[in-house]
Amino acid sequence: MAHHWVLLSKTGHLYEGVDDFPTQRMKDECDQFELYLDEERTIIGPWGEFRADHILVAPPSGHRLVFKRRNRFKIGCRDYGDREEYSCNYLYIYIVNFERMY
Amino acid sequence: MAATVQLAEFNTGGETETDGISNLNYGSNDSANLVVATYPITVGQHSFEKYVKVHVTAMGGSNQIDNLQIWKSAGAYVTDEMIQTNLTASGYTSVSYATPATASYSGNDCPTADPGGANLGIAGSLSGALTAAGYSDYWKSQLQTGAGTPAGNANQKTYTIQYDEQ
Repeated sequence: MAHHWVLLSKTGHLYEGVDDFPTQRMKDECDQFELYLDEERTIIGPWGEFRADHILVAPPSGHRLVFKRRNRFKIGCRDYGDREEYSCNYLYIYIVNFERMY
Repeated sequence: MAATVQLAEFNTGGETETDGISNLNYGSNDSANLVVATYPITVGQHSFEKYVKVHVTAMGGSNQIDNLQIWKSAGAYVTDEMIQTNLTASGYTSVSYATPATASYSGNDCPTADPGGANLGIAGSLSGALTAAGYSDYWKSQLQTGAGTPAGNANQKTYTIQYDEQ
């Protein structure tokens, strides 16, 4: 498990998921969102970038939830050398924020 | 579970696909996962162009994948060495496949830092997204050397590939 989320909607419905993501409708109707991570990771949140393994947010009035996982991996390349190398180290950064609804 | 994302390289006039490539070595041969010692680039010449796509083979628990960003994150150029690509965060147009060649490709200088926004499109647009397994646009690149490029090994380079899941 990398993450576990719990979302409470404005209509009182409780949704949760493990290593998946809420639908756009759930994010539009979000009243409170809680995210648990398997370890301390970088989170880009409403207050900037920080490291944590848990975050609880409540979108302000007129805003919807933004929840994304940013993935990075690397691949090596050489040109006229004599070695070939490969790396594929995944890095997860979580984005938990709000955006205005129009 | 996370989406399964890998790189697919396309070669030859038949657009032959090699999925899940293990490196992006540039050389004097149009093939995937090539051994550079076998296919060195003569100083002053260019590598065969590379046509690569970001391939989402399974969405895992994701509803959407977007915001593709690629940049050279490590590996300094030696003298007169550079990489040309179609990667750009502004004025983006997708490229069509053509049989890879060594003729000089004039695109954009390969970004060497996080571009801060998508620089490779999906379905022809930087704001494009995948909601099911599929491919990005072509990422075209070519390593170019000049008369001043020293013979022998160049520095290992590393590309970072970044995307968002939601």
